[in-house]
Amino acid sequence: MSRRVLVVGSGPSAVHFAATVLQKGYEVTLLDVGREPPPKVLPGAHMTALKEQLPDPSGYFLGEAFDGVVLPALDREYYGIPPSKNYVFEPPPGFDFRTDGFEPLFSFAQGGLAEAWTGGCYPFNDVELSAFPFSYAALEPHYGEVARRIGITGEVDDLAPFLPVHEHLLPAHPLDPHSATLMEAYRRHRRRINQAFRTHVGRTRVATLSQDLGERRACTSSGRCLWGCPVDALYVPSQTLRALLREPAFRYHAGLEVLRFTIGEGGTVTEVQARPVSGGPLQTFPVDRLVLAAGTLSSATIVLRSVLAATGERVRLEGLMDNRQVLVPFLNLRMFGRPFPEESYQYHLLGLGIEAADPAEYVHGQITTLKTAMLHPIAQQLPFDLRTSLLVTRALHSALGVVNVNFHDRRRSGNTLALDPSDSDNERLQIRYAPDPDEPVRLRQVLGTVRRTLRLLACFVPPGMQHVRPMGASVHYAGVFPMTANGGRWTTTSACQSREFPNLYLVDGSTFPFLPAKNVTFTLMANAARVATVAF
Amino acid sequence: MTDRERLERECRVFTRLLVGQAPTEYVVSKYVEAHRAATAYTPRDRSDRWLVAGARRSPVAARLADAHARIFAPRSALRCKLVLLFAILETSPMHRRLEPNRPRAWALVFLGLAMSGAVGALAVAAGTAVFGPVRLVARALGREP
Repeated sequence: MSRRVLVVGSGPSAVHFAATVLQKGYEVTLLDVGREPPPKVLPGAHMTALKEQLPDPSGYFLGEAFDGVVLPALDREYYGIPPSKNYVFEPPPGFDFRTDGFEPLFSFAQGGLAEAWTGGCYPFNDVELSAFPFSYAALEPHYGEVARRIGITGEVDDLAPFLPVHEHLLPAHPLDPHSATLMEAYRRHRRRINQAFRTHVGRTRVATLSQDLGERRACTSSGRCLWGCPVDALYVPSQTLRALLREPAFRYHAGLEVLRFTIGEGGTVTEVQARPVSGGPLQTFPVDRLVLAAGTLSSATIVLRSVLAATGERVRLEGLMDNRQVLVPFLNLRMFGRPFPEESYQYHLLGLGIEAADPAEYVHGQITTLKTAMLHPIAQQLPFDLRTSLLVTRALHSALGVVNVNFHDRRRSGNTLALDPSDSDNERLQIRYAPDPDEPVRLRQVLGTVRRTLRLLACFVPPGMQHVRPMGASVHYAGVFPMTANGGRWTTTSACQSREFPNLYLVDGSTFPFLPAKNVTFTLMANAARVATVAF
Repeated sequence: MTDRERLERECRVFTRLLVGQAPTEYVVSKYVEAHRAATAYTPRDRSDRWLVAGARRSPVAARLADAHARIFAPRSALRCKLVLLFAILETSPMHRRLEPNRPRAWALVFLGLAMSGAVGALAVAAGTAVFGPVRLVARALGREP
C-alpha cells in the first residue's frame, strides 16, 4: 500500500490526521485555500492597554469598514465577529450557496472555523458514542494524545461523570471573581441543584494553556481571547499547521480551492481538481489515498460535485446536524458594585450540565462572565435611550454573564445537502434544515431549569433577553456520511472510509452519526488521530 | 453647513450626551470616517432625517429623540449613529470616560439604577411628546421625491 496521502483542508481534523500519519512515516500533501491571519499587535498589552497604546484602536477593534460595530437589528447577537477574525470567514471568489432554515458559516482560513472557537474541549462518553461503531475506549488514547499536543486545562469535578477524564489534563485557570462567586453559591446549594434540577456545575475544559507548552506561553490574562490570543495560549489548529510545515514529509499547497475528484475503476479516486483562488487553470493532484477534512459542508460539496461529474447523479445527502444554542444572559446580584477585572481570561471558566431522561440528550452550557466584552451590543438592547442604557450597563458590568446552552441533534432525513439544480455550473451547495418538531418543548423545559439554577446561584435572568441562535450558528456541523457498522449508501466504515470510494476517507464531522450537546472540535481531532492510527 | 461640519457637530453633541464632555479629534475623525464607510448611518426617509436633525440640536434633544427612537424607531439612523459612537468611544482612549470601572456601594448601585430607570422612562414620555408629532407630520407629508 502506498504511503502517500492527499489531505483537503487545514482545520482541526486535517492537521491532527496529518500529524498522526506523519509520525507513522507517511508523506502528506495538504491542499487548502489557506487564508492567513493578520499579524498580532502589541503581544504584551492587555485589552485596556490596546485601547490606549494603538495608534488607531477603533480601527483595530471595529475594522476599517466599521463592520465590528453591532448595529441595532432584529437578530440579536451579543457580540460581533471582530475584524481581526474576518479572514476566518472570507470566501474564495465566486463562492456561493443556497440555504433554507440554516445559517451556515464556512471557513477557508488556515486552521478553519476553529480559528474562531472558544476552546471548549469535551470528550464524548459511551452513551453519546452509542450510535458510533466504537466505544469511548477506542477514542480515549487519542483524546489523551490530542490533549498532550494542544494543552487542555480542567478539573475532575462534578462535571466529570459527563466529561470523561483523559490523560494530559493541565491545571485549571484561576477563577475570576465573578466565576468564583458563582462557584461558591453552587457549593452552598449543590445538593438541591443536583437533586431537584439534575444540574451540575464545574470547570469547563479549555484548550488554553495554564502553563507553557513548547513555543506557546501560558495565558497572560490579557482579555483578548476574542480578538486572537496574542501569546498563542489559546490553541488554534493553525499552530499545528505551522508545526507540520517543519516536517520534511509534509507538502502544503495554499491558495487552492478543491472542486472535485475524478473517479476511476471500481470507484477508486484517481485525482483531485483544484482551482487557484488567484485565477488560472485548474490544477490536478494524483491520489493514492484521499482524506477529505474540509468540514462537513465543504467535504460534502466536493463529493456531490465529483459524483455529478462522473455519473450525472444528483445525490442528496441526508442527516445534517448542528447544535442548537441558546444564549441566556444573567446578572449576578453578588457582583453589584464591584469593579470588573480588566486583566482576565475572557472566555468561559465554568460549565453547567443538565441530565436528561435519555442520557444521550444531556445538555451542556458554558458560563461566561463578561469582563472585557464590548458593551455596545448589550447596552443597545436595554429598553432605554443609550445614555440611560450606558449608566445601567456601567453599573452592572461586573455582574453580567451569559450561559451558552447547547442542545444535542440527531440525524433526520429532511435535513439535507445537495447541489442546487438551478446553478448552471453545478457547484453551488443547497442546504435544507428543519428543527425537530419537539424542540420548542425541550427548549422550554431546559431553559426553565437553567433559569431556576441561576436563581439559586443568586442571579437574575432579565426577561426577554434570551436569544435562540439560528441553526448553523454553532458551526458544529455533522452527520451526512455517518459511520455505521452495517453498511448503507453514503455511509462510512468505523475507520471513516467511504463505502462508495475505497480510497476515500472523510475525517471531519460529516461521519458522526450523532451530535451530543458538546463542542465537537476535540472529538474531531481525536477521531482524526484515531483514523490515522487504525486505517493508515 | 457642509456634511462634514454637520457630522462633526453631531459627534460633539452625541459625545456630550454619552460621556458629558467633548470628543477628542480622534473620535470625531472616526465618526466621520464611519459615515463614509457604511450606509446604515444615512437617514432612510424624512421622518428619520428629522429625528437626526432634532437630536443634533443639543444633548437634551438627542436624549429625548433617542428615547423615542428606542421604542418607536429602533433601527433608525439616529440609533445606529449613537451605537456607532458608543462603539468608537469604548474602543478609544476615551473608554475610561465611558466606563470608569470603580467599586461602588451596593446601595448606591441600586439607587443609581432606580434613578436611571426613572429618568429613562421620563425621557421616553417626553421624547414621544416632542418627536412623536414631528415624525407623524413627516410621514403625513408622504414620500420624498
